[in-house]
Amino acid sequence: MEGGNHPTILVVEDETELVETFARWLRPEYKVITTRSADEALTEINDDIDVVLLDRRLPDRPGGEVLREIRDRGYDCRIAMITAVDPDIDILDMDFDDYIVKPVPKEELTNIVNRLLRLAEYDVRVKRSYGLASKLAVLEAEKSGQELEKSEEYQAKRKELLSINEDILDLLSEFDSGSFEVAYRDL
Amino acid sequence: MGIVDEVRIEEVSTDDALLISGPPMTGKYELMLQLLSGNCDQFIIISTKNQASRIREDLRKYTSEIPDEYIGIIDSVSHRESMSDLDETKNTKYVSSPQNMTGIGVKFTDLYSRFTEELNRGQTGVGLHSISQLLMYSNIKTVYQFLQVLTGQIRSAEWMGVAVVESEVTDNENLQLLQHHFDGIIETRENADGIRQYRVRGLTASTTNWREF
Repeated sequence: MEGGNHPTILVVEDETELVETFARWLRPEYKVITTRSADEALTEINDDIDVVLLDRRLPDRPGGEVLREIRDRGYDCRIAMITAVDPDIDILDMDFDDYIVKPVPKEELTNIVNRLLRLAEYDVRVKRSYGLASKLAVLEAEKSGQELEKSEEYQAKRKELLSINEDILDLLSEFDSGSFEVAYRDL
Repeated sequence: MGIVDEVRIEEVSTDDALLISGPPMTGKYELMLQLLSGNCDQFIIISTKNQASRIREDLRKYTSEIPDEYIGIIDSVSHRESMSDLDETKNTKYVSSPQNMTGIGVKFTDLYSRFTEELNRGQTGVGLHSISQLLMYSNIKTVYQFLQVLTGQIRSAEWMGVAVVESEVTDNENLQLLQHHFDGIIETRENADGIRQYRVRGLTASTTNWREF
């Protein structure tokens, strides 16, 4: 998502009509990649994908296996499971961020995608915030206040951190309690 | 009007996120309760040190007339000390240990929703006592990210937040790192005559002098 490109959504769903509908709803705001099986999905998954919409039932393997494999390979994209019924106990342990129950109205789909993208943006910025704050802390622990004031490098990094933290706050202020919980679960 | 003299720190605003930092036994916990009670009307305290009942008692030393309903507590202490199951109420939530920051965050979100949506006695103040316990069980990155969400929630509601950290047991670099989440730092110490003092850093152009409290 960095670099100002359109966010990328991977749709994994075997019902052709549904895939096409999803793609139509999500384009042109997003880059949409559609796949119809577990194997196809696992071929397409890569670092550029921000959000995965993953059907729980796929012709070759259960969606849960795809989910696990994506996580095992270390991708931390945001994933929503698409299910035909309300999720039951056996999928609650799975590491997904949201779920959608079929039939999926357009508004719900776009809401969920927006919510997951905000979480994805939040992830990127929290990592940068920590990275920058760690560098600043090294300087702050070593140098005096006067030295820091004179250091252009320090001042520039500090400004950058403040601006990232400001962005994070903007994102957080749009969070609902579900998103806050996801943020805490990711700790 | 509290029972004990209130500490009024003129540099402090009611929507600041503050970190109280100092050596052991310099009154950090008391100062946190005093700051919150002097500036706020309803409270959420996240505790890694004292049990819920004790915190309610302590808070009432400063603000006597507050109904239980307006004091929310997340207690991550009692679980370890209790053999029987703990009954959660609307306002008292239990978490297994300070290591479980996800649990603390989820319970806080629960209280957060209730305090923003249902309660309107006035300004809400959040206390976190203490960050040092969190650091004892988890790495600095996790604590930094936990505080990022927590202070973010507090700031977006325009609440007041006051957290406590032991300066002497915390690595200086880690202390610097965590300070980035706060608007101001209140340092505490005990002087040679055994008198407790504080000074405020970050809220005004220069650090204040040491003042007694």
